Amino acid sequence: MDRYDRQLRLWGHGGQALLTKSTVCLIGPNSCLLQEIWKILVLAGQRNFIWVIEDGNEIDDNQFFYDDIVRDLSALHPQGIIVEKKESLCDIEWVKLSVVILANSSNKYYLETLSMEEVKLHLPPVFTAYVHGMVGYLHLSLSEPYFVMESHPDNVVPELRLDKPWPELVKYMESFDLKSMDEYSLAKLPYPVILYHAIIYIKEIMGINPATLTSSQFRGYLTHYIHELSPGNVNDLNFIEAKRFSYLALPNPTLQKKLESVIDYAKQSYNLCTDEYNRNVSILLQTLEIYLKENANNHYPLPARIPDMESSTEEFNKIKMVYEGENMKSLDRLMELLQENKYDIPKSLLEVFCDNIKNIQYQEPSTYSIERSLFNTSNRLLRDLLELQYGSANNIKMDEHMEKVLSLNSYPTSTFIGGVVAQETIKLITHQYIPINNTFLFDASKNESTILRL
Amino acid sequence: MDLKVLILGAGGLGCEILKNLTMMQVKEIHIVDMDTIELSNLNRQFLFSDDDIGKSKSITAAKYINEEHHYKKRRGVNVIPYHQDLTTFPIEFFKQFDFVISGLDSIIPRRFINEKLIEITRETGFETCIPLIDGGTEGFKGHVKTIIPGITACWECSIDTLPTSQDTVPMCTIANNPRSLEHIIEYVISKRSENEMEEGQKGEIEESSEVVIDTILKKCYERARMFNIDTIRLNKEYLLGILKEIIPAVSSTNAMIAAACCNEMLRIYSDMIDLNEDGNFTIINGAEGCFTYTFSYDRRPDCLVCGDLFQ
Repeated sequence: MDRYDRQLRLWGHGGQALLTKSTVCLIGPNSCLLQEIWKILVLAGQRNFIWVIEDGNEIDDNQFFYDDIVRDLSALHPQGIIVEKKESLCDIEWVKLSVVILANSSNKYYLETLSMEEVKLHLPPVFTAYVHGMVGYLHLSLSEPYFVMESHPDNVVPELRLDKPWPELVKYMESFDLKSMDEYSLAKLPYPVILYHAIIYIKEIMGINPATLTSSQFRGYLTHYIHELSPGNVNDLNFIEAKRFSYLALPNPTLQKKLESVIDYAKQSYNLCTDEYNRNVSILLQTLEIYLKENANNHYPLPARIPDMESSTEEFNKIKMVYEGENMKSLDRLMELLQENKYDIPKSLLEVFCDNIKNIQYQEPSTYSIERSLFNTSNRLLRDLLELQYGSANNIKMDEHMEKVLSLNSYPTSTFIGGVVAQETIKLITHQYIPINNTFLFDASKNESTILRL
Repeated sequence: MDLKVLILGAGGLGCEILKNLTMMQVKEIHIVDMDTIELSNLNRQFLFSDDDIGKSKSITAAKYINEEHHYKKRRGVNVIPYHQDLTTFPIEFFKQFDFVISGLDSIIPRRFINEKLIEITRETGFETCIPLIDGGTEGFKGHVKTIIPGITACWECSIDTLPTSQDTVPMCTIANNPRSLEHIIEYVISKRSENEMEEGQKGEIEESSEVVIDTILKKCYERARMFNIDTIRLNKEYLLGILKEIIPAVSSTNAMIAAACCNEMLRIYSDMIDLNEDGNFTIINGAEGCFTYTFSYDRRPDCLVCGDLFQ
């Protein structure tokens, strides 16, 4: 089995390929935090690094887990790691980097350089992270819009489009005359068929427009319909599923609105995108707008797969084909539109796009430079941490608790913050899952974390 | 730190916990694990290398810290490994520890250690209360439970928080109406168990038996074709995922959960925790930003394990 099998189950081969070819720039002295971040990135399969070595505050070597960080981490990667060591930021080609990480850096020059307008323009996402005693923070700064298609929501809501069926779906649904079917055949039906016919019943027999119903009202009518249709099937799994997913029969206007706002954002922010992935998603969203305009029903593409549902194999295969067919049609049309506009987007990316239309998320670039974002904060803990990092401990109001927090063993806290930084780095590079927005504060003494938007 | 700590499990969490305790200079660390190292461990179990595949996890991890770790002498850390099933240890063994930190991946040993530590508290009339700090991960999610036997909720008190077993598919679907690759695989495995008069346990099919896996895979292809089910996603990894009920794992989440476990120990040791006020149950979710949430899980007076210690 693959060395990376357990994580491939999180971000797939596509994500892994992006990690393998990425380059991360680490800035800072050798520190526990740096070692922890770096270790996780190497374990995940990354191997190209630039390390801008900052002179450290003389820390006893004994505090580090790895004796010779580059040698020891190389042993954790099947091909070893490639590290370009640098002493300044001068000749770094920022555009070639995937992510920049300042780890326990206390040289303000680096922060100032990365905050300069002319540098900022070319910067990939930048993390600033710092740990002292049992407290620490990390901040993510984005210089351009960031898009995620595969945000992997916990709850996947199936997409059935029963409120606006297309001709093939209507044909499939109308091929069943539920009233003339026996209990045995009814038990084999996929639940969308039951929902579809309940909609027709409510519309035509009861004279009610289902779109005006709340989901609990609809469920009430559905229950009534099922009882009238065949009381013997009430406890069949497919009928139970029909009730459980009854809300899917109703239109979902919030979804449409959300998609519109994502498209709007893609349009207005396109010129800010330099990263290939972000540009491609932006192009896909803009192409989607054209696609939506040309079909009267404003149907956005459906994902390729419908989830499993109680039914016979035969019926499931049939309904699956109907949805797959619709997905293929959308894919083909979108591909044509892309080609008409001379956009070269791989088919695989377009497929991911169609499968994730509802899951697309974006994050706007940071308003201010890193320096300004951080130093303008009114958060007490963050101010103290910045003072410790760049100023002096004398400027902090010390109480007994704070003294203890700063003096206790910080290794687990470095590991914790290191874990968050590395995890966020992986998410950004794979463009999967939703990144932090945008500052994470951690106080291990209270086991407490805070998210700030700076 | 002049402490004797027992680590349960030398896997993803165990390696991280062991490293942290080493860096915290815990004097004596015992580590129990009965597993051996596999290639798919190496994306997170960083105390092992390719050369260690097939060796004992606990012994190899201890060796790394005791011998290969260059600062061993200066740190004064001593690691004692046990390549042994946790549930075979006598209760006397556990009495020597100041803390038990668990990074296990299954329920039975967790219930076992919880029961033993509570028994110790009961036996000694609250004289000895060994805190149990339990970490667990699944993908980008994880949890930490802090259990002070007889004082805070025990592992058994919160057993209801376990996710109910995954959507189970009725057997008739698997046999008569398979619709997905999962259904196909479940059928082939259950048939195989019947034929060979084995227990129907999925986990029992070892990864090493390549021939067996290939045969199962072949049968899955045949059955999928029979029911007209798309086989595009069917391959060895997919099959093994279902066969072995594989849970996704990544080193970043392990690092965070292990760190949170060690910080809990540090907080208790440094008297920075209020057992009545502070939460004893933390969950972390890194899939959307980084979300942590700590709360108090109350003891259950009717708990079968610690209920009689309720005052």
